[in-house]
Amino acid sequence: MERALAVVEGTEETKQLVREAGELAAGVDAELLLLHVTTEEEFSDRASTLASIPNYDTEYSVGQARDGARQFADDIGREAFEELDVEYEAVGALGDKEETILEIAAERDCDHLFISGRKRSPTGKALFGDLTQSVILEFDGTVTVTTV
Amino acid sequence: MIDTVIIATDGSASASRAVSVALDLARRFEAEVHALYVVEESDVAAAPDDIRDRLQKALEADGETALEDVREASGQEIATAVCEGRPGSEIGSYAREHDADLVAVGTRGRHGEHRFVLGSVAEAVVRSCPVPVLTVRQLDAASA
Repeated sequence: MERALAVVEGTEETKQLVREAGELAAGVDAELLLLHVTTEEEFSDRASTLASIPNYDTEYSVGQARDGARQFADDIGREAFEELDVEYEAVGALGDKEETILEIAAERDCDHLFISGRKRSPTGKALFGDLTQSVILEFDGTVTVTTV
Repeated sequence: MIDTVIIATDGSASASRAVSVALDLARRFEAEVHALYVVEESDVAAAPDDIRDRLQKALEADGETALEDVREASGQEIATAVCEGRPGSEIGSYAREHDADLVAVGTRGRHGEHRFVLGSVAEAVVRSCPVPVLTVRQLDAASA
């Protein structure tokens, strides 16, 4: 492992995943990227919510969305590594999750991905993410999945 | 810290890539390595009565060979075990019993599943395993 990438999501499980990734990466002196991807759908939802606020004339731009995503990844990293000495770089992106994860992993030459295996549906039922499955099958390097 | 790594192998090419990545990590963490082979209970149960015993012995022997491969690749002392049952749940319980920090599996097994589908064992392990699961997909024949 030279450079690892952990997929940060807006779920309870994400901190555990980030901690596992940090522990492994730090143990072998690998670099660690924390990536949060905002989907186009989330982006347009946010944009239309903001646009509906009367007298709120600041536009929600793609750049802001990307910054927001990076900020989110950074916050999770800070919380997850509160008492641990782990360095990381937070990355934010906007786009399709699977495509973006694989694209950034390739661009940044990552050889190990960390992704959560469990998603909770709105009813609280545990589901196995399709995203996790496609990432395992499409990525050339190692994929470590945590199911907390 | 990573103290205990479990490598589940079925002796397939898909597993061998996971084996080498996991051994490398285990070495760097100076972790204890367990290699595990699960005889699929359904494979045995599906066989006609008169050959069931022989089949079971043959599968166990396959297991020993697969485990020996891991031992050789590791170049260190490792623990090995052959279990019988449903691989997904056997691997999970073994990991729990041995307080594993990481479990490694291949993404496809001997049954030659389609390349766009995760092998059933890998999927079961990834879904249910109480500890992080490391997987590496098999490289395409062309790029391997």
